[in-house]
Amino acid sequence: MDHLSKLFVAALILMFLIAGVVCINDSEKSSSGYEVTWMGTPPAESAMIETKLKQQISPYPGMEYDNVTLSASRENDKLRIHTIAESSASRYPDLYDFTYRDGDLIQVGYLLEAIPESVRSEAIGVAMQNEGIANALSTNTNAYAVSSVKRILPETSEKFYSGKTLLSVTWLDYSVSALIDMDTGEVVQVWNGQ
Amino acid sequence: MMESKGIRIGGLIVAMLLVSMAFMPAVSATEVEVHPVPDSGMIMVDNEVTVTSDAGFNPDMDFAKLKINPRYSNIQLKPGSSDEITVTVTNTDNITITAEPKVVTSPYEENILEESWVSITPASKDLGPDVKQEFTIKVNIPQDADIGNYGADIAFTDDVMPTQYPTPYPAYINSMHLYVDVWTPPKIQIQTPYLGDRVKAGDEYDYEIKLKNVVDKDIAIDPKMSDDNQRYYYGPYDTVGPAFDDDAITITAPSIVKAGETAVVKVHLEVPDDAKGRYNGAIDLNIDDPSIREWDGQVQMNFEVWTQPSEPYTKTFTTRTGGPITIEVSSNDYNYGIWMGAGGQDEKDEASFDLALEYESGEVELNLVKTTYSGTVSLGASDFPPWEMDGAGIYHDAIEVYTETYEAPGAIGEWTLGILPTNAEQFNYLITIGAVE
Repeated sequence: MDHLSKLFVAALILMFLIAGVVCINDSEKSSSGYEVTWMGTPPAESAMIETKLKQQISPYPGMEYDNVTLSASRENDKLRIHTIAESSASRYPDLYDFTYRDGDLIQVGYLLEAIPESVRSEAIGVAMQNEGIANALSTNTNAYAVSSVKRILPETSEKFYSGKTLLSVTWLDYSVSALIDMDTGEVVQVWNGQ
Repeated sequence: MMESKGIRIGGLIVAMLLVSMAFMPAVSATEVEVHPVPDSGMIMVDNEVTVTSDAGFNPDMDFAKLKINPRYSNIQLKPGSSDEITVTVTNTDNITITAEPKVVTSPYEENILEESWVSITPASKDLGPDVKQEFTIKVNIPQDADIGNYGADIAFTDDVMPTQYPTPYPAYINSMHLYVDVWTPPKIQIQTPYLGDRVKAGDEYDYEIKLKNVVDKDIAIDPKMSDDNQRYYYGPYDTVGPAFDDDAITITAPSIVKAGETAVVKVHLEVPDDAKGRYNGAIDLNIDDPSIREWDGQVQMNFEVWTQPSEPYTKTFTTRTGGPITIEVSSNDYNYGIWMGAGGQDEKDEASFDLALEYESGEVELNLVKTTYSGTVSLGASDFPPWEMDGAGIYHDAIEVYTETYEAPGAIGEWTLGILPTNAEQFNYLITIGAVE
């Protein structure tokens, strides 16, 4: 390889590196284009927590978080971080619970209801076409059969179906719930309170 | 040894039958022979049918004792597909039993499962006492099978429950029930399968039912009020009629849902001025899609006619001291948010109260001194489905209570309090006479 070729290859690698850095920066910006607010005094590790948090929370596909509010409480040698992520596209927030210790942020719970209204409606529709759910709901003439729709993350879903994001439609008053794969529009599990 | 014991037990059974015959005039006590007749499913005593015990089970009946697990199985299959289940059969008897599984007709489902759709391996097996054997039942649904529910029993022996009269469908004792739901994905997704609302008498409402065509072919629809609409529901004391008739609802819809598109069926409700109570009914969408069963092709409707009171609730009370009067009024609201079947985002109106306090001398001014919000918060636990357990420990509002507190100067005598609630399902009041801590 002559000197010119070496220079060309080096320039090409540099271009790819620059392009890569630009892409990474852009994606970080777009995936975390929300304001983070701490309730009360932020802990000393707040900057590190925010960085790690942004890698662990994400809204329903197609949505963006507008505001993320964090609160921290110390439990012995660890911090408990409660996160409320809100989006203007949904009337309900996503809630996450984390613990932070020795630089590790671990998700310990979540309750994700920030789901577009059209998706909520479609999920409820899919659930109600399930025979078990329809039968349970038809036993009562209550006009206010109220359901909740929650996003179930892959780490939970894999215990019940497969490791992908699913939706859970639940009628708590009737003790029935349907776990739904929105990609196929199918109910993959039904819970009837037992 | 075993054989002689069997003969002795057999003799005892015959002796007991003979003794019981003596007290049964309808049955001859002579020439009694007991012989199981599996084909008819009855135990015959000469030509008379033996009436079994009240429970329908004769403890002296001789039949093979097998434990079958599971006793019921439910499979969902598309036409042209197959699936298999494993059934474990254990001989709990003290003799060898030949388990020879066969498909027997069950009349209890929408369709009878064809015998040719089911294959069972092994076809036969001799099971010694306490021996456990797994049988594999494979179900193949032909490509041209109609969608619907199919059922059959899989009988492992010919033993049947005795019945008082001959029956075309003998109940096999050593059997399990196989339920097969043959289905195909619907070509139309009914995105609004339910309309539920609280409506006011005299008002008009518009709802939308969205139908999404998920195939590349136009599909005809013809939405109409269902002929099977529920006309009555059970009230606390008796059945009561609907709040209004079907003609209060007008449906406007296109005749087809174009390939890949979403059509909107418009539902207009004019609640009559004199309507009270509930309306339950359904719109039959009449979708030209055989994969949608009749019930699934309907949109259920459930409306409650809400009457906003125009006159205040009144409460009279007597004071025996001249201390100040404090009145608390609160509304309880289940904070789940009402899901509107039409997919609308129903913003809940805040509850409020209009109060009037009258003394013997006339109206007394009430001063609003405090408003409070309180609630019940769920932390999620055993009441939730297992896949929502990750929400345990996270606060979730369940009930919100809004309270207004008023004060008025007191005096001994008769008082009347009027409370006119707005946007409140129910309210509580608390009247305190004297200083409030």
